[in-house]
Amino acid sequence: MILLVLAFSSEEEKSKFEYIYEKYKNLLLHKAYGILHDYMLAEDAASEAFLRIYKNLGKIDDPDSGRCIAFIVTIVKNVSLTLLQKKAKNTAEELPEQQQDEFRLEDFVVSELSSGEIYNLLEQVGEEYKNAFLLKYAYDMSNQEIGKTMGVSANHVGVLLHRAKKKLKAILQEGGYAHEQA
Amino acid sequence: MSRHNDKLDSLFKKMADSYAEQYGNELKQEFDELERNTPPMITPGLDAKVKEKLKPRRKNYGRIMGLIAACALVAVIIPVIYNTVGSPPLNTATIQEATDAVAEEVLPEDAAGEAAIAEEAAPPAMADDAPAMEEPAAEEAAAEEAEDSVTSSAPEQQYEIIPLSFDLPENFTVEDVEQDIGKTIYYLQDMRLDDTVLTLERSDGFTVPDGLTEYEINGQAAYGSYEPDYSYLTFEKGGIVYEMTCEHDLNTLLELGAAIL
Repeated sequence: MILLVLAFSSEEEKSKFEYIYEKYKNLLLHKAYGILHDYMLAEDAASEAFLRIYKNLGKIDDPDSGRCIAFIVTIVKNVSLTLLQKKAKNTAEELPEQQQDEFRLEDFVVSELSSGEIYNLLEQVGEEYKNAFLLKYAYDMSNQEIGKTMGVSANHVGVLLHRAKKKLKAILQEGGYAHEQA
Repeated sequence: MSRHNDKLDSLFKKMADSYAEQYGNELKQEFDELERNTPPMITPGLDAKVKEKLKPRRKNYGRIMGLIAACALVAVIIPVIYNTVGSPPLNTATIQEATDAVAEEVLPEDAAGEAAIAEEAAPPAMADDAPAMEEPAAEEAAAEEAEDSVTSSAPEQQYEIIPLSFDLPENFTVEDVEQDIGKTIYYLQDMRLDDTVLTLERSDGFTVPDGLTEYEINGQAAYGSYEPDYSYLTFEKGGIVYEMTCEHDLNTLLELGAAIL
């Protein structure tokens, strides 16, 4: 246990966190406010997001990089959306029944996608699914880590990822990016 | 993992990396603009909230450390007393009582100890208006670990695993089973990828939870709900309340229910 405490008690980590906090707190508040339209709630969201960022500091190599900003903004947006859902007692967005459920991307050849196309495709997936997808594939987080970051169970993360991929496959097919193998 | 899945994973990774890169650059521009157009903000509210979020964990950590120290003390003292005084009838209950008594004694006074631990471990305060950040992750992890070890020593023998009194449908296999304070939890793996968690609990009465839809299965009533991420079904049979959840399809649960009822 002492080893565990020592392993986390690093000056370097603390400085990194303090740097990120000072540099991005306004951006995170701004992003949270953009979703919640309530300054007090935005503060709640940003503070919760910073706590989750602290727990995932290892995922941040360069605090000045775009990837770092994308990571912390993904977290604060997710926390804000969760708060918004709680506030409005909204149920999660229900996906329409897809005819493409049986579509297997494995059987298709996916065209070379430009970065712009990828961006547009992922924008269509839906915020919650996209967040889980990004944390999994761009930041190599386990379902359990994602669950802790998003405030849901690892089991629920599995569902989110399953659905994100299903939706992405359908979008690829509908957009003509996936072609049946000859 | 098959080659197909590896290929898919690598496609998803490529897409996610590309998106994160672009999204990050877009945000960076937005951030620079925000910096240029907004004067530096003082955020006492946020600073206080972040500090507050880190605080309880330290308290919890101190409390658990106090409890562990108390248990260690009892473990040392009891054999000494036992050897010195003679051989009083010593059983696990008296040890438990002694542990509880010492723990109770230590915990209220732990606030001072906690403060001492906090003082000792506290990093130097951050400059200016930023909150002094502590090490919540470490302490939380340590506290969780300690909590686990404390709770795992709680008496469990009065509860038993409730065996399954029916044949599982062919698509299911039992992946794991555990006992959780009177509830027996079966983790069922589904060949159709709709893994299910089945909970059994002995009960004298069954109260139908609010907001559920009634289903008739083999002439008996069951109650369930379907949400996009979460299907749920519950019913009572032979003094046992069954609860089951799965990720995708309520029919998975209705079929399992039919095997039970």
